[in-house]
Amino acid sequence: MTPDAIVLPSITSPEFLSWILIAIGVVWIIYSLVATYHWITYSLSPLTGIIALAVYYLVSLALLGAMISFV
Amino acid sequence: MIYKQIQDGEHVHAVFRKHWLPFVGTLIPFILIALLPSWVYSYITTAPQLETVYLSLQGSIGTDTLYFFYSLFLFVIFIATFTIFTDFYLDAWVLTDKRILDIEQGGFFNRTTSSVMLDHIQDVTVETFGFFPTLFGYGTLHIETAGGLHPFVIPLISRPNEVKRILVEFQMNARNRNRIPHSEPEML
Repeated sequence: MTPDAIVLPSITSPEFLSWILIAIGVVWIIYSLVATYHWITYSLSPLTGIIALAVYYLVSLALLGAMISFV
Repeated sequence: MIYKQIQDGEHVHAVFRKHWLPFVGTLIPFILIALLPSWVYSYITTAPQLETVYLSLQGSIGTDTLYFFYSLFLFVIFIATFTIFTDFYLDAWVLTDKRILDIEQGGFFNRTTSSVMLDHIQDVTVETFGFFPTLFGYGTLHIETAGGLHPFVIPLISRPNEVKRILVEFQMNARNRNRIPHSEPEML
């Protein structure tokens, strides 16, 4: 009896890309929490902090959305 | 908020920041790296001698997968850029009527705050070195303090000569405030 061969998903398969997306999503959530905490706590002007965070969330969510649409 | 570090009876007079030009200079390689794959891709798709490369790329990977990885690439570059911007923007020097506070943000997990009492300042030196600092008016300020082992350094600050003038003015005021009133010796 020979053991069944382990078949790794292809780099272009939607399954593999979905796993990359999940990993990126987890990292993004942690990074966003840390960034939000820093800008709210340490920004000398609250308005600048809000603008910087708004731009950050807008651009990063747009790029995440683009990645989801291509899977 | 940084103003939590300001003591009672202490007033903030000015906040100094780094000049924007060195930050823009740091961004340029990121912008070029972000645009490079799209330039390569557009070159491959338009150059007739690379038609076989383009067709094999499209056949083996697919356009959607290419766009997915390009979006991922842009995402990573954007996160790196935002981290650098945070480091740049959250660095500040706060001048109060008693001291100068140095707030250094090094990424998200490295933050240093130190301060120097204005009446401990011995000497302030401005260093403007190079073409761009001279042209755009930014430089490094070295503050020598009494008893301090290392000088207090404010790098890449905007209008360093004006900051020096303000610092010296505040230092003189602080010294005059703390000076013991001079009295004539009594005649016995």
